[in-house]
Amino acid sequence: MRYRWMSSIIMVVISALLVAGCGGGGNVVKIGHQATSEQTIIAHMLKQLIEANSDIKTELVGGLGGTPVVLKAMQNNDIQISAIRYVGTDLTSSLGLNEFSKDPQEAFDLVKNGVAEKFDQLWFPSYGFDNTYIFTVRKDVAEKYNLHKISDLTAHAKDMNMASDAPWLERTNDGYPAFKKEYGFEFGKTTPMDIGLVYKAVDKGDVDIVLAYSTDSRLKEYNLVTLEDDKHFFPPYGASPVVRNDTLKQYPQLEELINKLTGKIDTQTMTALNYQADIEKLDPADIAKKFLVEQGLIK
Amino acid sequence: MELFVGTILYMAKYWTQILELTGEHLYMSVSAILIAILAGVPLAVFMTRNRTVATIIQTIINIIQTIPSLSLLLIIMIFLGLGYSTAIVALALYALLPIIQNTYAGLENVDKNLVEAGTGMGMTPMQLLTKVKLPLALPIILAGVRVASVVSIGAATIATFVGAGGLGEMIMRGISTTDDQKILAGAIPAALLVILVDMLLGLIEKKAGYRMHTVKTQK
Repeated sequence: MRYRWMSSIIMVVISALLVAGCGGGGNVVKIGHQATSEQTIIAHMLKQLIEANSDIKTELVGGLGGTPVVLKAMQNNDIQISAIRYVGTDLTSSLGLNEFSKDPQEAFDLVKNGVAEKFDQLWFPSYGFDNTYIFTVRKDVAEKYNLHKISDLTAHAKDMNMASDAPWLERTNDGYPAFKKEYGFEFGKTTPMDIGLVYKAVDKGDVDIVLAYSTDSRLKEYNLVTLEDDKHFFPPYGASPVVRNDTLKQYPQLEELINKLTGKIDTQTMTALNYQADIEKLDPADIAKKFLVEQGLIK
Repeated sequence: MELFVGTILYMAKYWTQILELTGEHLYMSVSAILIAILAGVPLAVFMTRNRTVATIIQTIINIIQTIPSLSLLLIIMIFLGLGYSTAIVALALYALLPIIQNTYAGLENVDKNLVEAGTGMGMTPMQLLTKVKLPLALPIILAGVRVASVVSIGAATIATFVGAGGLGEMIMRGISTTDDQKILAGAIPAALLVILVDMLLGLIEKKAGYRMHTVKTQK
């Protein structure tokens, strides 16, 4: 008897789980973003901008684990808007291209057409900033080895421990394997970690050099020195929103609304917004609101 | 010390949010453990009947353990999309190993004389399983469930990568803004959850062991 009682409890629990798992959907446009402050702030901007100027309901889906997850979620229709996608990342990881022009305009056209054809998604014009990879060292290390550009590392790299986000080490086209070929040296040791950790790691001397994101405010905060990409290895990483074409058809006013942010945020502005989140610890929603009000985009 | 006080203050200020994330965290890991038990125990029973199947299943669950969490999530996402379901299935797959391994070992190590006695009494294979083997193996199976729960609750921090929330969301937000208070505000409740669930299951395990003992002496 007791067993029957237990099994019925288990059945109830399982059916409850199944029902809960199937919820969601409805007439809500979902905006997906990754965990970085930059992505979170921009996602909040899109949400507030859309909701203030139309009756479209939006919902944020945050903390997604990288561009491949965002892309797959877009294809599954789990989300309809990617808050930010970067030209270089999508060219290599989503479209799988090996060779492409590093001219910003040509790369942009290539990714726009590729994403439209392959995934039926619209790649919007850039917000106005690039968030590229940038090699970064502590000031005393830069002075000790006299480092200004990446080529200066050639003689010292084998004694250095380099930290970057894990995907970069694996990506064949714009990642570490191609980097080694282009610059002709490799680091003594590589330590993959979450991008949010690299700044503190290099500041504290746990690693010698890190591959940072150029719009991150912690570069300034920790007084770090960035090295020039003298062989122009890294492709352009212009930042744009991307939306499913069927969503744009369903909500015709969406395209115009999102385009209000086009060209509004240059690299300096983005770095300043990131500073408010990462150093001043302000809430991303408040940062987004303040910016939109200043720009006169919402009341 | 400053960090400690700051974390407490932060947690006090955002306690509703932390509670919500803890709820999501618990929901996902408990569902995963239940699914792993429901799938793992019958599989282990099946494994005791057939050596070849046992080796195959063993290999598969070992391979699953070696798949990095993000790739496992990406594979499951193809079928289940973003959200709880994907995270739960991934956690259940990770929890399968301790449950299957312990159930299998528990069933295999039941005293052969007792099985023979049961057979002698005219028990059917089903009766042998439910009345002799499973009750005797229960303490070992429960030990496996205990390991699985600790693994699941710990690993549930990856759920945030597929937008399923949980305490991992707080931790990742802390990491991406170098905010140690936020990291701790996510990590401390997760650690407490592990300790709590482990203690609870430890109690159940003890009770189960005790009951088996009394059953035996009654005979």
